[in-house]
Amino acid sequence: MTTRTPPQAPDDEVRRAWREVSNEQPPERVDAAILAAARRAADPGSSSVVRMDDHLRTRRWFQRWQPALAAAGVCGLAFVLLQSLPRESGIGTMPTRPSPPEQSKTTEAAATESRGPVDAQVPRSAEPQAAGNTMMETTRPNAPASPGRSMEAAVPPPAASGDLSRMNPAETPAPVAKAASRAEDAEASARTIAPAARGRAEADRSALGAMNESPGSAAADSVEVQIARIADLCDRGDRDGAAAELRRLRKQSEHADELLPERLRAWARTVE
Amino acid sequence: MDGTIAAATGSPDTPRRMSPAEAPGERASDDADLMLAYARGDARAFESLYARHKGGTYRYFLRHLKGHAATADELHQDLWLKVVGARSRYSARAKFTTWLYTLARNRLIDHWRSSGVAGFASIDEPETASAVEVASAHMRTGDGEPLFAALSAESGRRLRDALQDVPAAQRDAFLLHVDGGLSLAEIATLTDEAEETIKSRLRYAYRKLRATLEDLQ
Repeated sequence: MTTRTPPQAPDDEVRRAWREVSNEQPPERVDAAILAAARRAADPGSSSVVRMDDHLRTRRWFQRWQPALAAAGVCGLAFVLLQSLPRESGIGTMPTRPSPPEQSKTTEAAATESRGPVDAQVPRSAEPQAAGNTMMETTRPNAPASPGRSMEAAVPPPAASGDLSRMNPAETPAPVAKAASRAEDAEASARTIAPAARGRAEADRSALGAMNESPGSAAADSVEVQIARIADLCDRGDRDGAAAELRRLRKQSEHADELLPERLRAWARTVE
Repeated sequence: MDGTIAAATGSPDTPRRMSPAEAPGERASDDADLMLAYARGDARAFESLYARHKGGTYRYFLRHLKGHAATADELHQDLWLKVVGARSRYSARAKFTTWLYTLARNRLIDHWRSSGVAGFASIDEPETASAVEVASAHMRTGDGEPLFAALSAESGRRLRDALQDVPAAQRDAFLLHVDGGLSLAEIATLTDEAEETIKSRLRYAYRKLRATLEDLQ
């Protein structure tokens, strides 16, 4: 008679072998997540744990996106600066009046040449201020001249020089005299300011010289016009009006009688 | 087959019929006490309970998923979060491990269904009487000598692979029996199968593993 070994014995061997090779455990992060959830569920008052998790999540989010946020901030700042800078320089270079005549261009060029070394010493912030002065003086023509004033302020508007023929001859020298006084002021100031700024005063003077030529020719034109007007008045028989015009011409020119046509000189000798 | 799935998809919170063999022992009552203590708000009770059973449930998923650790992590976490969520509905009428592995099995079946895997449906090989006899004869060859002294890593891998080759229903019975520590009656209750069916499945699984162990000698 054979004794049958109970099947449990080999089963125990298999179980032992199996338990030896099968001993995996869940990862710690899974353990932590489960235990945290269990604690939160067990203690309704442990909402602080949830808050801490939210805080950590927010901090992680910020750490993750911090470089991108910083880059976006820098880009935004640069954009704002780029948008504002051209506007400022545009104010400085904005013409305060219609395009200047050729003379003022040459004057500007001369001024630029003489200003060259100055710009290396004078702070750049002074330029927009000078530009501001230019604009202010355009609106206030009688404002006192300043050493830093640009040439555009000293030069009268081209439209004014074009209208000189229609102006009263007595008034024509006024802008010239004003410009001359400004040039003198500029020269006087140039003596007191740094030698570097002296170039600007010289530029002012050269511009003034160009100015003096222009009103002179305009005055000559007006003499001819006046003579023509006197001849016209005489032809129409308006001797009194012609005499008044002649007296006005005499005030402007000492040799007014000699400038008259031959046929009017006899009449002119009768006019006192 | 269908009965297996139907039983597995039943409400895990509802304890099924209990046999006299399921009378809770000391540890089982301890588990139940810990779960009830946790339901009252004792988080430490849950920590003890989790430390006691986490390995078994994790390996249960890992073996059925053929070593796919990421999915096993997910299912393991889902299972225990479900335990946490069901704490207020837990009653000590059923053994804690029976309840726990019922939840685990249902979660596994849900996963298989969502993945289009057959699961336990196609695994019940008809065990003929001769097959049972062969298995029994195979087991009887054991004469008390240890089958192994110590298994190397390679041997362990081969043993685990051998269980992968076992049909899912047999593997399920083996895992519930060895890793879960459930008795035949508890497994039968859990799977809604007859105890003889479970015994047959276990025998098949043991035979396969024993053959592998003998090859390793």
